[in-house]
Amino acid sequence: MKAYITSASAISPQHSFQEDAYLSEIKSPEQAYFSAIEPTYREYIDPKLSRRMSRIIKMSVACAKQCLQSAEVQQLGAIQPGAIQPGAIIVGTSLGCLQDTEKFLAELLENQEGLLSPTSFIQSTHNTIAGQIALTLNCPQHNFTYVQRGHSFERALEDGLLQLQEGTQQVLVGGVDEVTPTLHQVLCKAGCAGNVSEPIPAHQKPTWGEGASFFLLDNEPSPNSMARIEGFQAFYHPRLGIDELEEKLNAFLKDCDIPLTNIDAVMMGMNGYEHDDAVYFALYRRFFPGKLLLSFKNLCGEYFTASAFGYQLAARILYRQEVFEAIRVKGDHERPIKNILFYNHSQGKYHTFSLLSACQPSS
Amino acid sequence: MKVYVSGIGIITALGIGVEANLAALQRGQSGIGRPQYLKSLHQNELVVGEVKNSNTELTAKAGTKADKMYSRTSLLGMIAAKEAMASAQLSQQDIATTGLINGTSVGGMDISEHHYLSFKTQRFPADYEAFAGHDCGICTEAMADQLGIQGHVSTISTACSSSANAIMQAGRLIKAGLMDCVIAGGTDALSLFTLNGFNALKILDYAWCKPFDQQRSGLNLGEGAAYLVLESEKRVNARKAKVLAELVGYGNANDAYHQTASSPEGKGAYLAMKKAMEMTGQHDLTIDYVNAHGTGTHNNDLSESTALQMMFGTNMPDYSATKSFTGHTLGAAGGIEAVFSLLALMHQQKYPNLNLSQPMDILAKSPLTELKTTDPVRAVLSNSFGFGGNCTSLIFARR
Repeated sequence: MKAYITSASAISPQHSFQEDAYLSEIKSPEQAYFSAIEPTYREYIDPKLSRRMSRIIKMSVACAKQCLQSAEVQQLGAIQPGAIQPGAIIVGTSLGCLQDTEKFLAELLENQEGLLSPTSFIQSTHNTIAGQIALTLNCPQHNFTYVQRGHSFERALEDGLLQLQEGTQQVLVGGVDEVTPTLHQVLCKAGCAGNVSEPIPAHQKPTWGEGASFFLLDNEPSPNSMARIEGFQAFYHPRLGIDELEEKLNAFLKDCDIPLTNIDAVMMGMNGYEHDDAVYFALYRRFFPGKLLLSFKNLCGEYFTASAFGYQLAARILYRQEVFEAIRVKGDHERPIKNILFYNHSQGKYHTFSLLSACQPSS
Repeated sequence: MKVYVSGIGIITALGIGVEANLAALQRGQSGIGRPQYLKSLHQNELVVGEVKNSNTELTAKAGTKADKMYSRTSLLGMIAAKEAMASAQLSQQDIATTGLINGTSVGGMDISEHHYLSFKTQRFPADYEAFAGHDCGICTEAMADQLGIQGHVSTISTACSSSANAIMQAGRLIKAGLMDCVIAGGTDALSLFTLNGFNALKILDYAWCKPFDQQRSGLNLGEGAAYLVLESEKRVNARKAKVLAELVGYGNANDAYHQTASSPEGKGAYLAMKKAMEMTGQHDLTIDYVNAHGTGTHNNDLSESTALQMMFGTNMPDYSATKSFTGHTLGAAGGIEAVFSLLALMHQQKYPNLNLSQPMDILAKSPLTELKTTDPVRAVLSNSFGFGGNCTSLIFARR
C-alpha cells in the first residue's frame, strides 16, 4: 500500500502550523508537560461554532482545514474552499475528547445523577472529532475513528491507504490527542510520564505531549507532493525481544525492496526514557550505524498519536531537503535525503515501521 | 476474495451464548428490566438491558485472573470472542495469524467513573490502578492478551456504529488480501456515564422501548458483546471450515447533519445502505429481512424509516428492531445485531419487534410483531447509526 502525501498540517507544542515559521524557534515545555501552541481559530472555524468546541476538536478542525487549504494552494494555485473534498475522513485518537469526558463525569458525580446538561456528553465520544470535521466540510463520505493506544494513528493511516487502494482519490487522515491535568497526574502515578518541573536525573520518565497532525493522501503524485509513503507495517506484540524485532525489520525492508545503503536517514521515537529508548539505539547500531538519526518526540512529547507528528516532520524534511538541527541525534546530513526509515514503538507493545521517500528529484 | 463468517459468539441481556440468545428471540422474550448490578440512583425508575451476571461471575466465565481488575466491557468482550473462536474451531496455529478488531464506545468507564470523584476531590486516596483500564484501546488489548492474539489489534470507536464498522473494516482487510482471519465485533457495558448522558439528552424511555411505534418515546440502554470470525475464502477452503454465511456488502457514510441528531431525510442512513447494496449488485440479491437500527427514539426511527422508504420503496422487506429485546447496546449493537442477522439466515426465520401497538406510517409495511418462519431468508441487511453522523450498513447472505 503506497500513497502520496499531498499536504500535511500540524498543531503541536512547536511552531508547526504556519509554514513560514515552521520550527523557527524550538520551544521547551512551560509546565509539567508539553502543551500545543494553538492558532487563532477564527480563520478556520466560525466563532459561533468554536465557542462550543473543546480544545481537541478545535485543534483537529483547524488542522484538517489548513491541510486541505494547503492542498488547494498546491494543486489549484489558491485557497478555494470546498474545491478539494476528501473521499474519506479518518481520525486516530487514543484517548479522544478527554476534556469533555471529564467535564461530564464531574457534573454527573457532583450532581449525584441529577439534572445535567448534555453538551459535554455529546462532545465526549471519540468520533466527535471526525464527525465535526465532516460537518464543517459537509462531507458525507467514509468516516472512521480508531482508538488503539499506540496504533490509533497507524490504524487510521492503514485505513486511508486501503481507501486509496479501493479507488478513492483523496483521503484525509489525522492523529490527535490532548493532555489534561488529570491525565498527566494519572500518567505520572502510573509511571508512564515524568514531570518536567521535577526532573529525576538519569531516570527521567518521558515528557508527555499533545497535538493534531493531518494529511491529505493521494493516489497520484502532483507537482508539489511532499513525500511518498513506500511501505508501512504496524503490529502489536506484548513481549517482543530484540531478535524478533530485528527479524521484523529485515522482513519489512525486504518487502519494501530497498537495500540498506539507500536509506539516508532514520527517524525514531526516542522519548528520553532509557527503558523505552534502548530498543531504538539497538536497532540503529545493528542496521544503520553512521547514518543520520533523527528524533521527533523531543519536539512534541510522548503521546499515543505522536507518530503522526513524526510523519509530517519527515515529509517536510523530504520536501524541503532540510534537516532541523534540533532533531539531529547522530550522523551528518551529507547527502540528499531520498529515503527515511521510520520506527516507533509505544510502551514496547505497539510497533510501527514505515518508509517515506522524496518525490522531487533532489537538487 | 470472498469474505465468510465461520464463527459467532454473543452475550446480552438475553443470556450468555448463541443458544440462549436464539431461544429468547424465538420466544419473543425481552431481556430488559430493572438493573440489578448497575448502581444508579435511577435504578428503580427505569429499565435497561443488563447482562444478568455479576462481574465476579463474568470474571470466572472469562477465565481471567481474579486479582487483576478488568472492566465489565473487557469481560463481556472476552466471553463473546471466546465463544466465536470456539464456534469457528480455530486452532492455536490459526489464532497466530488472526487479528482482532473491536468496537466500543466507553471502554472501561464502568470502573473509572467510580474512582473519578475521589481522585478529583482528593477526599479519599485515589486508586490510580482504576484508571489503567479506562480507555477503549486497553479493553481490546486485555482481550487480545487473553485470547492470545498478536499482530493486528485495533479498536474502532464511532459511537453506536462502532462494532458494525469493526466488521466492515475486517471485511475490507480480508478482501484486500491483507488479512486471512479477523475476529470482529464489539462490546460495551452499562455505565452511569452513558445512562446519565442519554438521560440528559432526554431520549431514554423509562419504560420498555417501542421502536417504530407512533407513541415511541426513547430508547432503553443495554449492554453486551458479540463477535464474528471472518475469514477469507482461501483460508476457509484450506482448513475446510464450516461457513455460516457470507459478508456480501458493507457501506459507511456520514450524515454530516448534526453531532447527535440524524437528518430528517436520513441522508447518511440512505447512503450507507446504498453503498452496501451496490457492493452486492453483482450477486443479484434480494434482501429478505432488515435488522433495523431502530432505537425507539423519535428522531432515529423517523430518519431510518424515511431512508428505508427511499431505499426500498414499495418493495420494503420484512424488518424489526431487536433493540426491543436487548436495549441499545451502543458500541456492541452492530456486532449483536450482526449475530441476530446471521441467526436469521442460519435458521431461516425473522425476529419480531416487541412492544408495538401503533406502527408509524412512513413505511407502507409495519415491522414484524411475531416470529416469522414461513419465507426463505437469503440475505439480511443490518443497520447501525451513531452520534457524529456515523452510519453503517452490513449485508450477509447464505453461501
